[in-house]
Amino acid sequence: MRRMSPQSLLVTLSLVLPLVLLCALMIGPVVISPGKLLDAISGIIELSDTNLLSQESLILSSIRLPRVLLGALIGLCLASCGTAMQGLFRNPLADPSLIGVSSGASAGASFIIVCGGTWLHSGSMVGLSLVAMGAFLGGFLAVLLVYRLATSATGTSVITMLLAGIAISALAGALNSLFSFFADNDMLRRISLWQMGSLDAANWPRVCIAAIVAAILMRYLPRDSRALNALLLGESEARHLGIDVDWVKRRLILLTALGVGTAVAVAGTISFLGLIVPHIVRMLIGPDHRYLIPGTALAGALLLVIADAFARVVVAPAELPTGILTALLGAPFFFFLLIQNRKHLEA
Amino acid sequence: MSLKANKLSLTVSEATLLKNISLDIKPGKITTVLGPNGAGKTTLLRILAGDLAATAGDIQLHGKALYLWETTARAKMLAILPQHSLLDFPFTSEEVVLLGRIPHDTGAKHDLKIARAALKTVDGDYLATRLYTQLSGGEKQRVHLARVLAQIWEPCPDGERYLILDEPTSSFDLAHQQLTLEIVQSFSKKGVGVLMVIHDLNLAARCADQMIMMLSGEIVISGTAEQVLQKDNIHTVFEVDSEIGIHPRTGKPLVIT
Repeated sequence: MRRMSPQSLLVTLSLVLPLVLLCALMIGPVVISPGKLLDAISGIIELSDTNLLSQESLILSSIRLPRVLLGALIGLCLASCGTAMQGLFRNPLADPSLIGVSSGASAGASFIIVCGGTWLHSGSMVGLSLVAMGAFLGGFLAVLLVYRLATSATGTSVITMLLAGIAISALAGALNSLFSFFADNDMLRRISLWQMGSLDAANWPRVCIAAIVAAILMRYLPRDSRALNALLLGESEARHLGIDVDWVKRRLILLTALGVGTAVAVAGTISFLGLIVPHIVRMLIGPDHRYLIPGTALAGALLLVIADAFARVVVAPAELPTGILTALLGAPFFFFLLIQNRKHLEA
Repeated sequence: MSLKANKLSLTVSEATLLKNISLDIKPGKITTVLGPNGAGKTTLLRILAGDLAATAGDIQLHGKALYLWETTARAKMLAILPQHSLLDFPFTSEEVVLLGRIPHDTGAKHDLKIARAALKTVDGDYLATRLYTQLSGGEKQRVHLARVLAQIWEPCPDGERYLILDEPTSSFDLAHQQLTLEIVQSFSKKGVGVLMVIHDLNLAARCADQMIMMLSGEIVISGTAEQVLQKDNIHTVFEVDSEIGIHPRTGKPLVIT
């Protein structure tokens, strides 16, 4: 297959993304026409008093806008973290949900919810940050463990990596059940939200946290793109090329745990996004991380916004959790990759 | 100024992998390392490359301990070609060669020029736009050779350059084995110090200024090709009977087994 030029992909994506965001704002149980969308947006800008806003403006400002933005930000985090992880593990099958990072993060989050008790209100910024912190720690431990187990001087063992993912998911699942056992009704409801993975709890504090983390990722991940390119050759080769491998590894593990942990804390486990997006973008422009990271970030945002728009209309007026939709799309894709990679698994 | 190993030893859980190895790789000279499988050749190379720490002894690069060099500065002087590569991502060959320019900040245009020249040197210009993952074993190895050449393509202000090659010719056909030797010789003429592990004794004899023969982690003998390639040495190290002749064209020893 011929590659397209990375620049043209990045330009196309940055032109298409705003259009898709606008379209996603119009779609939902209540359809907002383009004209009304403009009216509603100008209404929000001019009037801060919510009582005077039209129904459309209300839907937009308190439900749809945060949801669409959160979708884009989470898509960005998951896809760029997936890219970094696949580079770090030197394996295109590394995905946060497959190698146990998402489950680790969700165990961390439920731990905080149960321990935090009643003063942790899901809407408050402080409460959310704490939950995000728990998810980060859980995710961090999971990446560290899998990395230690699966990679050695002679390469990455795919089998160990996936098995470690299973073990961590099982452990995290058991911890989750344990926490649920001690939880009251309200906590239970909140914990069960994670396992599904959905954007319907979107609100402005969540958007804020996701935006901060997305900004951190976009600031620091691209710095390591040359190091990631070198790491694809192997750790010693990267060292021979003057890369401070241990420092890069530590930084990437921290950043991916932060990205995935936050995504899990605010939107639950949205699986396979970190697997599919890097693959598609790599097929289009090749594995150079200097373009791959921004490319997957934009494409991830795009894909999750589209998937979430589908989730809102497929069974309208009810809604599907977004995580179900990405899993439905992602699992067959993963099978396809497994078949492609069979030679490696057998080797 | 040189790359110097001083009494290196490596012991891993009571097994002695290397014992008292001293060697001196001089700029503009080619040193070849010979020995049977498991003699410790690759281990020695990995210590010289900074991948493994020796349990005793030290390595000096231009009079300064190897590990004290800043990693990027070191990468500009010391390039290493491993036996196998783990790379499994669909870069084009040209992009793989460009990875060799990572330690340098000479600008994309200049880097591309060097990468293309390096690829041409290894008879790989036709591979430039092909995907690395679809190449044959020999082609892949040539692309990596071009990558390490691109890494030390130009003289470095900090000191002479060194090239360490671990069995560079193992997956090559006859023509490319010859080509590799010619490349190594032309780099050494430009002042690059070369250390090369090689299994073909006659290829080694053709290019070596200095030869080292290893057995069970120790240097059995070192010196010129004439001094090292002798019946009893070959018998001690490889347990093979041989006849030593003289190569009709190069005048170097010719080992016939």
